[in-house]
Amino acid sequence: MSLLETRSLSVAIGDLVLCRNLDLRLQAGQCWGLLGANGIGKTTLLHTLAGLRPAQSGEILVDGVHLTDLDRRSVARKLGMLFQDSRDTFPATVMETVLGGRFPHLSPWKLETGGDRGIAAVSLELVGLSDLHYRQVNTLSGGERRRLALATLFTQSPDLFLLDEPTNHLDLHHQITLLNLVTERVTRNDGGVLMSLHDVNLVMRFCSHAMLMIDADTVVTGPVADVIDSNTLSRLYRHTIREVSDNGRRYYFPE
Amino acid sequence: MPLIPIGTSARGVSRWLVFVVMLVMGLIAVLLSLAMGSMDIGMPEVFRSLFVAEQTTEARVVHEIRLPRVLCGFITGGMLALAGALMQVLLRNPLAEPYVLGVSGGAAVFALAGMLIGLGTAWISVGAFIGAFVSMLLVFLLSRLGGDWNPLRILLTGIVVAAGWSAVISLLLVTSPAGQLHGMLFWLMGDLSYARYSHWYGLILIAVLLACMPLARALNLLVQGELQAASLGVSVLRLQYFIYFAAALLTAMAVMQAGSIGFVGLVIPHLVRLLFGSDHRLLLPVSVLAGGSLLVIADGLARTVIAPQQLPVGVLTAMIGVPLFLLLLQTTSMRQKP
Repeated sequence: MSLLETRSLSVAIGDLVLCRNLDLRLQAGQCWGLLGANGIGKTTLLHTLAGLRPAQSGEILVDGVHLTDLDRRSVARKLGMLFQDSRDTFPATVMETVLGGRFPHLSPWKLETGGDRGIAAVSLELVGLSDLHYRQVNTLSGGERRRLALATLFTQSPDLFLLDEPTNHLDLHHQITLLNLVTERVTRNDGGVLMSLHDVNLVMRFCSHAMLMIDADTVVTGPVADVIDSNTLSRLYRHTIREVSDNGRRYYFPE
Repeated sequence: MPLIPIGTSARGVSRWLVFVVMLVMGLIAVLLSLAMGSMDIGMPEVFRSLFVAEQTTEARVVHEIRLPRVLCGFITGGMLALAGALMQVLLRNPLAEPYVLGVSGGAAVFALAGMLIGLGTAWISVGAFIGAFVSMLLVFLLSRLGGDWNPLRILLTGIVVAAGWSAVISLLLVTSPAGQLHGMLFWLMGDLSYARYSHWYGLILIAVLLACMPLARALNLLVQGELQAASLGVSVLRLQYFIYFAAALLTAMAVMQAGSIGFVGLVIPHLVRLLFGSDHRLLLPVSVLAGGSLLVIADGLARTVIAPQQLPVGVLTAMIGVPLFLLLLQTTSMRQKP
C-alpha cells in the first residue's frame, strides 16, 4: 500500500489546468523531489495533495484511504505541510508555536502534558533553536522562522512530509543539515517526503525519486537516476542545463 | 513580550491564578460601581444591602436601581470584549472589533427609527437586536456569495455595509426633530440607562464563553493563517462560521442593551495580550472579566462625574482605556528592547 497515491488527479486554478491525470505512487521510505519552473503549479499541487484545496478531478489516497473521507485531525496525523512563508498577526512565543504541532494529537479539553512539551523541546533542539523557547516569533530571522516551522512539523510528526521549498531563507550549512535531518528521520520511521526544490543538486543528493512538472500534460516521475538528465532539465527550465561529474556524483548547472 | 508571559509557562496553575485574580478584580469593580452614583452610599451600606435584608432607601437604590444596571454593564462589557477577541481572530486583523462588520450600524438604524416613530424603550431594544441580526445575515450572505470565504472578503463586505448603515444613521439624525436628538446621540455613543437586566443575558455570555473554550487551541492556530491551521488539523471553515455567529450574537445582545459602546471590544483583547500573551485559553475568559470590569467602572463614573446628570458610558470607556492602553504599550515595548 502506498503512503500517498493519486489516480488521474487533475489540478486547476479556475480554468487554468496545472496538471492533468497525474498518477503518482509514493511508497514508505521514499523521498521525492518536486521540480518545476516558477508558476508551474508546484505549490498548488502540494496544497491539493495536503487536502487544503479541492482537486479538479481524480482521487488522492493516503495509506489507501480517500483523503476526502478523513477529517482534518486524522489527515494532520498522516501528513504535514511546510508552507513557503509564515505570518504572524499577534504575538506568540517559539514554544507556543511549536506546541501547535501537537494539536491533532490532543482532544479539545486536554491541556498539553509534560510529554507534549518534551516532544516540542526535542524538535526545537533538532533544528538548533533550543535557546529560543521564550522568544517572540516576530523577533526571529527568516532562517530561524523556517527552522521553527520545521520544528512544528517534527512535533506534528506525520507519516508524510510535504515541504514547499524547505530551503528558502536557509544558509548552506542549514540547508544540508536540515534536509539530512528530514530525510533520515522520515526514512527511519517508514515515512515519506515530497518536497519542491529549486536546486537540482539538492534533489540529486537527498531524494530517491523526482517529479518534474514540465507542463500540465507532461509530468515526469520516477527514480532520480532515471528521470533527471540535462535534456529533461533543459526542457523543464527552458534553459540549457549542463551536467558535470565529480566523485561519481552528477551535478547540474545552468549555462 | 507580554508583561506577565503566562502562555510560556509550563504550569497550568498560573493560568488559574491569573483567572482567579481577574475574577476578584471583577468583583471589586462591581462593588466599587455599586457605591458610585448620585446618591451617597458608602461601601459598608452596599455590603449591608446586598447581604442583609433591609428596607432602607439605600438598600432599595442598590438593589433595584444600581445592581441590575451594574450587572448589565458587566455582562455587556464582557460580551463586547469576547466578541472583539473573536473578531480579531476571524479577520486576523488587530484593528477588528465587534462593530467592524456593521452589526452596530444595522442595530442603530433600527433603534433610531424606532425612537423616531415613538416606540417604547423595550421595543427600541428589540429593534436594535433585529437590526443587528439583519446586518449580520446580510454581510454573511454577501461575503459568501462569491464562493471563496476569506477574512479579507468578509472585512471588505462588512466595512462597506457598515458605511451604508452609517449614511442612513446620518440621514435619520438630520431629519429628526431636535427634541429627540439628545436621546439618539446617547444611544449612538453607548449608554446603559436603557438596559434591562435578565438572567438570560448572563447565561448567554457564559454559554458562548464555555462553547469557545474547547476551541481556544484551534483559535491559537487560526491566527497563524487558515492554511497553517488546516494543515495542523483544524476544520477551518466550520470554526470560522462558529466564530462569526458567536461574535455577531454577542455583539447584537450587547448593542441591544447598551447601544454602541466603543473601545471595549477593540482594546480589551489587546490589553490582555500585552499583559498575559496570546493564548486564547486564557485570553478569552480574562477578556470577558476585564471588559466587564472596565465597563462597570466607566459606567459608575458616567453616573457620578457630572451628577445628577449622566454621561454616555462610551465616552468614559475610552477616557479610561486610552491612557491605560498607551501606558501598557509603552511599558511592554520598552521591555522588548535588548
